[in-house]
Amino acid sequence: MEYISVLDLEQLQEEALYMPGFFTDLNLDQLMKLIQDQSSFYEIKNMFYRFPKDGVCEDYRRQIYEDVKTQPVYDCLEQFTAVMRQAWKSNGNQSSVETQLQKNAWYAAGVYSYCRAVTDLQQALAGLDVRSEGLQKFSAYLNSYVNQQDFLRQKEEAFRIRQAMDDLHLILVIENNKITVTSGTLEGAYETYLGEPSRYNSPFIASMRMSDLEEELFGIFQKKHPELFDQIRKFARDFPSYGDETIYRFEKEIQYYLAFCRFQRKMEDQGFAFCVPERDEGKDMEAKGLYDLALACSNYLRDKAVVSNDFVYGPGETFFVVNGPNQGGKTTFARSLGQLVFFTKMGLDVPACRANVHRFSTLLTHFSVEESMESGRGKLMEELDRLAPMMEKKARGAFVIINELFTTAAHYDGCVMGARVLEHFTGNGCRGIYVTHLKELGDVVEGVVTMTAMLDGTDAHRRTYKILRNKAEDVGYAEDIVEKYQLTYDRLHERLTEEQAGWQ
Amino acid sequence: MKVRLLYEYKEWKGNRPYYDCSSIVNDLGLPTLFRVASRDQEQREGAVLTAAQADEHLGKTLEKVMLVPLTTPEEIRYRQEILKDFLANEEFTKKLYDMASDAMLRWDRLGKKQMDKPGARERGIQMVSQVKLFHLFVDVLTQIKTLCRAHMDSFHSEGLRQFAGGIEEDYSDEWEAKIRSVLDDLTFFCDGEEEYSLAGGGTNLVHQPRMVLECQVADGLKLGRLKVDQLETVDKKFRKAKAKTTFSEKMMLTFASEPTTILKSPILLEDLKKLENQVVEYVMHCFQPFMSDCREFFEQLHIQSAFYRACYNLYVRSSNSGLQLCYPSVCDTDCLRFENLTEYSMATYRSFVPVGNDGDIRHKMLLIVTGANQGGKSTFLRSLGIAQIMMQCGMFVSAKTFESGIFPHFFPHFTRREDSAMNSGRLDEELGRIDDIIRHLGKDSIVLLNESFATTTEEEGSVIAYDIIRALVEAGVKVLTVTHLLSFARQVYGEDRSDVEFLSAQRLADGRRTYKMVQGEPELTSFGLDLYDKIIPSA
Repeated sequence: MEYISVLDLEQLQEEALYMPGFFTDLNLDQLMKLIQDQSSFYEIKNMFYRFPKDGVCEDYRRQIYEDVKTQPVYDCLEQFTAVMRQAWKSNGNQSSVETQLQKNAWYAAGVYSYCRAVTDLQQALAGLDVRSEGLQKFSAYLNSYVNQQDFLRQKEEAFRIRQAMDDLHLILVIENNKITVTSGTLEGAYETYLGEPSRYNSPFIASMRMSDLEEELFGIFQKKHPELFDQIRKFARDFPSYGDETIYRFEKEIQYYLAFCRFQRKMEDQGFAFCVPERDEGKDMEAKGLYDLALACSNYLRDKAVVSNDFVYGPGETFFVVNGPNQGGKTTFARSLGQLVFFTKMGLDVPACRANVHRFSTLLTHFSVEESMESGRGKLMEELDRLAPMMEKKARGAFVIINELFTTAAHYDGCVMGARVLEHFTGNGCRGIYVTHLKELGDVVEGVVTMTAMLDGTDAHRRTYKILRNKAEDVGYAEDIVEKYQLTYDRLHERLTEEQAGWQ
Repeated sequence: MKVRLLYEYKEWKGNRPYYDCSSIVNDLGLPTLFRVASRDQEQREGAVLTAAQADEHLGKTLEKVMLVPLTTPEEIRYRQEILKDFLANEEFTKKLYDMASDAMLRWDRLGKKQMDKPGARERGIQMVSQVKLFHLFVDVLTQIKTLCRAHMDSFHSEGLRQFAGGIEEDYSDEWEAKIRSVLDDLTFFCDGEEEYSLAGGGTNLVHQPRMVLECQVADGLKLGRLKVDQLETVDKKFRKAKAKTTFSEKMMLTFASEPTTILKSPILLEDLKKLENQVVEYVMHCFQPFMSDCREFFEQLHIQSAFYRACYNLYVRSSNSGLQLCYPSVCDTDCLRFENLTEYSMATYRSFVPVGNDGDIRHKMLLIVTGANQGGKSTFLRSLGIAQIMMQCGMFVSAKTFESGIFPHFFPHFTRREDSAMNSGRLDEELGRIDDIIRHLGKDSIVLLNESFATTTEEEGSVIAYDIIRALVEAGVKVLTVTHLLSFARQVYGEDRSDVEFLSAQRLADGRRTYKMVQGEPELTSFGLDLYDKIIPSA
């Protein structure tokens, strides 16, 4: 039988269990937590731990995500997920209740939910104009699945039991600890008197088990009216199992798109932009309004704005070398580039207003670890140890992000080593960004562009977090000395005139 | 249900108070008023002063309400009219507040704090408190309705007439009867609570619910949605239930035409209780709008009636000491007129009638008060400030007449004595406060400067004062200043401007102070020498 997956084009042998190294460097681990939070029931993290097998698969996913984002498709997938979860819940309940009759009842409820979810999804997808190959394949599979004899018979019986339960209304007459149970419906006279219908469930509904009272009531009732209860028992005998491998796989994998979509929508509601990245190798790789998504999430909580940046790798340009003051947004810029490449490769939308992203074989990152106990020499060793495997692999066509390499080496040594590293990666057809304090690095290798984290021109030492193409140079940080309280007549007059505009 | 005794179209929210309320309170000496307002002032002249129990809520409420300015003449008049009614109906004023605070007290005892917490639903116990609260609200509302009926005819203000009319409408006798019938149906739920017992002392009767419910069947053979068809409380002769099913019960169960059971085990009875709770919860849910209406109503009434009750206390105190009070009127912001204006806080504190001032200042945005030390300048500035604040919360003012504009932005800038220890930083601190005020100015602002910029040399201080005050007045801010900076005052005087008024503390030729402010040119001296001569023995 054909292997149908919405993540891959062919069956993969291994699942990625571990977080790739670049996750923490790019703060993708923080983002993964937030995305996983969008889907508490399903374990989706692992699906983010590996890239699609190749460019074809990247596009396969991107098409599917395009479909998922459209409201009708999104709605029917959410609905499907919700009802499937009821089925799983009924399954769980079935194994944790004790009486056989109630086990059977939960089983019937589970089958009902499953059939309902599958049937509804099949009908919804058949009526929608899905464009992606992946969803089309799955929709076709569903069409044939729901018409199989076994499924049809099971579904009919499950639906019939459900109907019978819906139709059965019990009437309880309670007085002086004596309860009489009959079936039928009432006017609800007291509710009419109060003028508001009750939307309350019985107090026992929260528990999956029958309370003693429920057992007692159903017990005395079924002695005189056994029909429904017999039907439930028979159903469990006649249809001992249900479910389908491909549908379960779809249910799990589609959460990859749904969770990200939910997350993306929340961020968009807060005013953060996302876009579908173009994949045009013929045009320059560039982005407008690119920002660090992880920073956006944490800043949003603290009510702080996030600065976005534009960039373009012009023809022949392969590496950005970024200088500038501390805390000026260099690392954030580097991270946002990494996230851009990551989400593009994953077939999802990217945190930018507009982007064209070339194809890369993989992502390589090297961030300096927090100053630890290692002394100068030790730290350099440690850095080189981590650098070696990146260079050894000779990963052609990778996207490389290097943040503060060789900070502990002598200035001259740092420049020489830095230049070699850059030469190595540019020579291997890689592209990337190199954040450094070494201003000289920009000049030595061909194809390298220098950029600087900018400071506000008027009020020195204030960071703008904007990264612009700029020759690295020494900027004077001298701060204007302002009158402390700005209370001179001229200044005060100015202030008051300004303020007056705001008074109603 | 609406209270709306503070505003015609809204309830009290406490929004938009003055900026820097604590400066206003302390610089103007308002804590005295809050203290006096907290106590019953019933002592007549000559009677022994008894320390009546202070009700802190009164003082706190007065403070809160005073610090949120009214912004239109209509709002001020609305409160003034209501206040007149309250002061004229002593019994009503006291009873209404007593009812409101009694309701709050009993509500607190029922666990107001817990109940207010969202999501905290201790079933059963929680519901019992809710039902009791329901009873409480209904009882007090009835009391208030009766009280209003008794006094309705003597109300002249729109506010109190609407208040009384609103209760008649929103808590009509019909509606009350319906609520009470439902409360009767719920009697079984509060069983054992004598207070709300139907049986009224019947010793061998117990309250039992009789319920007829319709119930749907949910997944996993569970009882699902409930529908209530009948609910009532019936009185049963109390009989100890037998632990085992008796013979007659067995007979009854056997021959019952429909499936029937008698619950005996504690677990089953416990389950039945849960079911009863759910039904009560539903009934209470139906009265949720009424309940939250009541909550809001009583919280508001507790605050709003307290404001008038506090005013009443102040009023009694003032009349006892013979202080002249008036209801101020609103005029343009560049005018300020008053007759026999006294410093209310001081007068209240000392229970005597201080010297009053008269003034008729038209079309001036800057008032500069200079003159003799110990001449009553600061007192005068405070009396203006207090009157302004009291006017802007709809209260009476201690004057024969008082007329002023409305200034929703009110900033006192008084020298802080407590800072004198750190002399070097004082100007810094003062200017910092000025800067802060500048940042918070708005349309119709008034700034009261009391001996500002005196922490530096006369010369420097005058320049600073001149610059700042000039800029403020040019921006349309009204400035009342008491100052020793005579170069500043004389410079302004020399400019002969039509929009500036000069007052100075009167000093008689023999050096005596009358504590009166009179119009006039700023003198070259503050007559500190008088004091010096008085205090330092001449050699």
